[in-house]
Amino acid sequence: MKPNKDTAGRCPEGMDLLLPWYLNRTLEKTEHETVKKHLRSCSICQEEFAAIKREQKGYQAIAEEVPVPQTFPHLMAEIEKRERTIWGRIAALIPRPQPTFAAALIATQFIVIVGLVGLLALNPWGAGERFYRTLSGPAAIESNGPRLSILFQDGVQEKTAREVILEINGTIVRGPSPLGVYTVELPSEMNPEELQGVIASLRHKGDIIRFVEVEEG
Amino acid sequence: MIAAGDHQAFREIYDRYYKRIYLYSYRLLGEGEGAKEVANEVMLEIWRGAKRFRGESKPSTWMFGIAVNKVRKKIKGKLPPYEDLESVGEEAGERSAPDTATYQSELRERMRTAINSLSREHREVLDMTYYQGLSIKEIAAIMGCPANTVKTRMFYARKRLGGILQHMGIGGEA
Repeated sequence: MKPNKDTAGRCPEGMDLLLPWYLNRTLEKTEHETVKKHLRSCSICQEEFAAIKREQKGYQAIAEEVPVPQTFPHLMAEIEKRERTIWGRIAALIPRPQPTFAAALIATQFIVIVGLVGLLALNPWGAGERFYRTLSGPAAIESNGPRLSILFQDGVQEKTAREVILEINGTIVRGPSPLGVYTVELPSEMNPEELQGVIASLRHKGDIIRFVEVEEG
Repeated sequence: MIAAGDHQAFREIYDRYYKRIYLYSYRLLGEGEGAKEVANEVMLEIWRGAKRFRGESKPSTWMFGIAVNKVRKKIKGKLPPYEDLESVGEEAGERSAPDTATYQSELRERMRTAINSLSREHREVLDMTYYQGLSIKEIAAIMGCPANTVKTRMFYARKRLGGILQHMGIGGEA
């Protein structure tokens, strides 16, 4: 470094720039060691360091002379006064910040809840149809399968009637009528032979079914 | 803790930092009333802003950052802090000789006068280094400038301080 009027007296290695922080011991460990080693051999830095020590001592001496007022009670009164106002009370209701982990957990919960609600609303897989099928669902009403009129025996429980209808893969499209007749639709791909077979099997359950007929029309 | 409204934690912070912040403001502003006002505002800001503090820097750096900004605002509304170098010298020349009993106190007074005649930036960096004991990185964060600027600013602050003291006839010796 070429000395000039402004930089004259400065260490050619620029170490003098670090001396104030070498003195207050805030340099990084490696930097501190480098300056320490350099100081042993650099007369410019030795002079500068001595001057810096004098300056710091003088600076601290004048700084400590000033009396410091005690304002804590005044500050607390000011804080309480502000907190007593309406806005202060509202602000007090707002939850204070959580630690990072807790905040992340809350954010994750929020995202999961929003995601689940969205999923239920969109129902992309038709989950309701797949997992919960009513015996009189609208999907079945739209089909064109053969229809049977079925009257169950008195005293037959709903559970038994349901088992019978599920057994023939039927869907209730009407009923029960005031007389207790159900109209049950069978799968549209069922051929006449299979239909007769279904009717025969139902008629065979005389203790459950009073009558069964193919609905006309 | 302060973020949760803990008065005891606030008391601890007050005991630990109020004096440093007050003295910093005092040295920069050169008067007690303004320094008290700034230091109180800083403490209130710490109370109110604790929930915004994310711990990305040391609490002391955050607090001094607030203090530096408040002092700067205060200084803006006042007359320039620079004193005429000639008048400083004349004033110093009227003072007593080194062999009097009050030499040390005279010396301190001259030092104070010399520091007050420095620019705000120079007083800031001198104070943060010599009195607050902050690192280059911390000062850079508080002042919002690169680390190299802190180093050169300190160099020129010292150079100017030495020049003023020399002009006052005490040859940079404090």
